[in-house]
Amino acid sequence: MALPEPPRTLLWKGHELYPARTRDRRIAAALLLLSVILLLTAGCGGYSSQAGKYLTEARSQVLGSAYALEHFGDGEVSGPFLRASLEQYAIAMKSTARSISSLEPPPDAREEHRQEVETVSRARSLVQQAGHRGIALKRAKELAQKLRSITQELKEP
Amino acid sequence: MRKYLSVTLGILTAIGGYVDVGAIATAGEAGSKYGFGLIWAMLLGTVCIIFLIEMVGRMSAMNDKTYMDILREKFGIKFALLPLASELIANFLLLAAEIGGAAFALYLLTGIPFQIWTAAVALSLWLLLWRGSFSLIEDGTSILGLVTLCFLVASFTLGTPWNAAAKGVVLPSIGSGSPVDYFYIAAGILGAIISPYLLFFYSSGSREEGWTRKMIRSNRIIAVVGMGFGSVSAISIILVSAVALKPLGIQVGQLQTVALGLVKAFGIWGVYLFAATLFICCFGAATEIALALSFEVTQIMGWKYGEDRKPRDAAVFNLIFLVYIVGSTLLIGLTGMDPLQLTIFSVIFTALVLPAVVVPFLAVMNDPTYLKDQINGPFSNVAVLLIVLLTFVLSAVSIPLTILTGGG
Repeated sequence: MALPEPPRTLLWKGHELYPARTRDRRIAAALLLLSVILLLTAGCGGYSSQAGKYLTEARSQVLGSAYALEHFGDGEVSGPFLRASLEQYAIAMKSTARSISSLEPPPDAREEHRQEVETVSRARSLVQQAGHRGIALKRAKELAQKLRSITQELKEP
Repeated sequence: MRKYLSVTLGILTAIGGYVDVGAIATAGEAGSKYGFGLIWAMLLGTVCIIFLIEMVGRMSAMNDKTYMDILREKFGIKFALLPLASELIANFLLLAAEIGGAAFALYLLTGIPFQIWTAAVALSLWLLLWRGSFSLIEDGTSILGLVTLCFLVASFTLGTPWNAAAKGVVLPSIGSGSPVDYFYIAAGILGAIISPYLLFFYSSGSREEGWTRKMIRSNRIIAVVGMGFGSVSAISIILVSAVALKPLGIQVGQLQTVALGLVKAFGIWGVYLFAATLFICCFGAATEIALALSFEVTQIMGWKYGEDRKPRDAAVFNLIFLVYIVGSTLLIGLTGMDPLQLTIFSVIFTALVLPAVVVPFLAVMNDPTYLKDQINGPFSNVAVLLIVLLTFVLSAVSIPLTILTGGG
């Protein structure tokens, strides 16, 4: 025995609600899909935009470390604050270096990509050591200078 | 006079929305990346939360029920369970983040890893909630919370170009930044400010203080002053980061970077002021979240609640915040998770169910059973409709934006 066909409309105060609701849902779904596509288009660029984002992050972390070291050298930042800051910057740089190295560069950018990973790792190593062992007031500005010169190597592609 | 002193409830509520661990970092990130280009989001969020806080306060002043009581009574327990379930998850993460934030402040002061400090922070938090009265918590946090105004002073000391800042509000610019990242931060700012637990907490706080209809006028002032205080503090963080850090190419991705703006303004005092701000605000926000959780669960289940009751008279109320504090401390202390990552997850959860918390305002605020002669006028109803629309947008974009930006 054939089952009765389910009602295609719901009656409410004499109006057919179902078709209108279906249309609204379809419009909402289409708008949602469109916004997701737009976001994906805008956000997920290729290698260069991803690398650019991570390099900006890395540069910012290195500059932050340098800034804290300089002010420590001037007696404007306490020792514990400097140590905690450098430890946190080193952790952040490690994560950024990992993100950069996970990117797949096009063949003509492979050498540059390798150097960028190396540069961030070098900066991380310097910051981590200073955070772990501590640093003398006199040497703080010297290290800050070294870190600033490293940021010159971290140019956006 | 006493009723105007209730402004401390507004300030304590605002601390959770504007200057907690996630909000401090987000405001710093906004200023250091986009200069004055995201102040509009802070202002928009402030207008929305002022409306909602005023309404929820009016609701509680006109009858002896909290917003959660009314949700359960009017829409049934099943309806109220949705926001409650989301709040239980989101606020668990947020509480862990706030405990982590307060511990991070001590880490910056001492250099001792923040995971070690979490137990001390959690114990102090529990003792305060266990032994302290509601007025001690709100007055203490509000008075100590004034330290956040150091960012306002710093914005003057650093010579903020006010014309450019005003232009940034009227004509916001993304500059060379990514539009997705820009809207992700804007959504983060709005999501943190229009947070359901602020509404539940303010509503419960007004019941703790025994508000009556005499508080209707004061409630408006409290909503504006309290949220205004939070907004000024948070906008000041944007200004300081925009003026001190953006020109140097330093973007805020970690909490300690926000302190560098204050170092530029105050030298070594900047470090201490930042640590004090972070500690007081995170600790204050943690008390607010722990209490909000206990209030929500006990109110929805119809159990006895109240911070001013003796613990044995509201045993479950006290047990809930104890369990949450222990759980959150274990999460942050044992895993060493970044407090900022936890707030990101929390904001996503919150944004998803935001409409379920705000939509009922339309019905409740027009129901004379609860509001008597103080139901919403057309202006307030239009405001609620616009806020509802905004919450739907936030709910729809929160996950896609988080995926696209990789969480910041």
